[in-house]
Amino acid sequence: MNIKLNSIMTAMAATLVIFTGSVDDVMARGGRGGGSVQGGGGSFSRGGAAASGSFSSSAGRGSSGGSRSAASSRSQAAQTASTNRSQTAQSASANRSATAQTASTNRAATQQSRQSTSTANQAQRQQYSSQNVEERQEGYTARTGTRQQGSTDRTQTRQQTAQQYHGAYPPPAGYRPPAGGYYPPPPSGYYNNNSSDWDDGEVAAVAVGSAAIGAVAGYAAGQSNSSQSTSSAPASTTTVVYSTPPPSSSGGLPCTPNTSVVKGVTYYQCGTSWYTQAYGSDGVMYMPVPAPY
Amino acid sequence: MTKKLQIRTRNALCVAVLATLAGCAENQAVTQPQTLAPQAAIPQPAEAKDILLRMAGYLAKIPKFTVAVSDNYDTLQESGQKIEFGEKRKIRLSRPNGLRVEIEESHGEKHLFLYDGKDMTVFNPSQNVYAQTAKAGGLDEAIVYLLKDLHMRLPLAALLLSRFPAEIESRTRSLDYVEKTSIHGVPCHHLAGRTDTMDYQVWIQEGAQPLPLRVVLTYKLAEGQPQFRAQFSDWNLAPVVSDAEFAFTPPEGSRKIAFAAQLSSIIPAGKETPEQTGGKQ
Repeated sequence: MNIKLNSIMTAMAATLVIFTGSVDDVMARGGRGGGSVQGGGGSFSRGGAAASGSFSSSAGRGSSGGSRSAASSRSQAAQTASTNRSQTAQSASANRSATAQTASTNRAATQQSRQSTSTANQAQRQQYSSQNVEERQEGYTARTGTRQQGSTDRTQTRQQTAQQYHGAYPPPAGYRPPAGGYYPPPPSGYYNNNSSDWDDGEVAAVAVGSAAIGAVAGYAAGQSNSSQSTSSAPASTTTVVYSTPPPSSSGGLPCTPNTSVVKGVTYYQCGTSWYTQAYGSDGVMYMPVPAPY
Repeated sequence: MTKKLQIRTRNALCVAVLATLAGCAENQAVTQPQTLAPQAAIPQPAEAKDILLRMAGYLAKIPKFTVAVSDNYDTLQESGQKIEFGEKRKIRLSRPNGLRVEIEESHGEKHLFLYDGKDMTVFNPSQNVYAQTAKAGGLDEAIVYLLKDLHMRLPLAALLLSRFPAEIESRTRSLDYVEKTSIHGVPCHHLAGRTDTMDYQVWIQEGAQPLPLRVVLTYKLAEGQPQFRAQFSDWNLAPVVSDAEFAFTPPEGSRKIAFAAQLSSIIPAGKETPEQTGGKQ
């Protein structure tokens, strides 16, 4: 009888040990894989091909750099937004550094896979094309040729840009762009002016240098509405530097910035890096800019 | 005696189980012919095209409307995990020059987009900042400019264009009629189309008002093949609208900032004195 009881107790103990081990495993897995639990929802990227909700997409065309790479650059922007909500300056700095490394790694991987992706896409397009009528094939071939030409041009541009800036996008904190220069756009998304696919850009694909003439004229960035009555006056060259943090919306930056208003534009300085707010596809964000003086 | 009883009980159980299984098989045999029964004639692709273009043409010609859109979309994370986000939008459109879109993202962030025929404005109430740029030419030009040049986000923007029929027709490589179905009790046609870069499904209301009720976009060439899904509701094709709804009046204390895409032309080049950059303002 005692032997039977002992056997039952031993079996129960073994079962408990097995269950305990399983729970530990689950928690450990959750701890590793579920970084989001600790990191909070703000660490997830909100961008990507589907976020655009467009009837066309540049993703996967070989020249877009791939959505994963795009997600990397978006992650930084999202991170800036998330720090706006909760992160301290120290953790933001650490995260940015990590993200920059990830972006660099991803871009390298993307560059390696771009050729194969392009080949795969080409094959896929050919398959679609063969299913269509001859008339459509002719049009499609013409478009493919145009895309390939565009792709080559863009690849060259990207290579030149990469050579110019040497590094991940966005560059890590402390990196200062060349005089008069801006950080290159993320390697995602491109906009073919000759194409009907005007809406094929991925979210957060911020391109620089496509501003419309005339946009400057009405610009009064950084000026409060209450002071707009003076905006018609000649712009002052006086630089006002605040040593205290701005009243709000400074949390997205990697530090508590000094705020300067130069010619009506509000600049935020963190060390040697300067930022200003801008509206992009991800919403309001801080963009790295050259020092205003 | 007890053993005999046990054996009988076991046999009875076996018989019961077998009978049950046989019953299941019989039921299947009964339901099977139902699924094989001839169905109503499925419209052919030509009809699908007619339905699609009728919807697009109808939408493009509505002089003004309001509609609520609830959408969600997949985002592929660095980890490879797909995460869904969403937003709700209230759209007020008045051709040829008025568009107002109130957006609330799933984490509560709000945006307001306005176009009044002269200026395009995006306003963020939580930060009390806005970006604005002049754009004449009407809705079609403004929407294309917003996406193509300003690189801003306006999901399903093509549906708002007066040239939407041409846009959807030129992009569609194949189109199929999936089924006749209903959404929230509203009978509709379910179509599936393919373009070079994405596949789409659209559910179009049957009858005299062929409005889109649901759209699903699959970005088949993007990693992870993420989807965008939108549900339309509260269509109002005769709303009372005023021009003031499309014009932006900066709230007290608001600040104007740049569109990110326009930053390079607005922020002075680096390493210059303020005097040197004065001409750029």
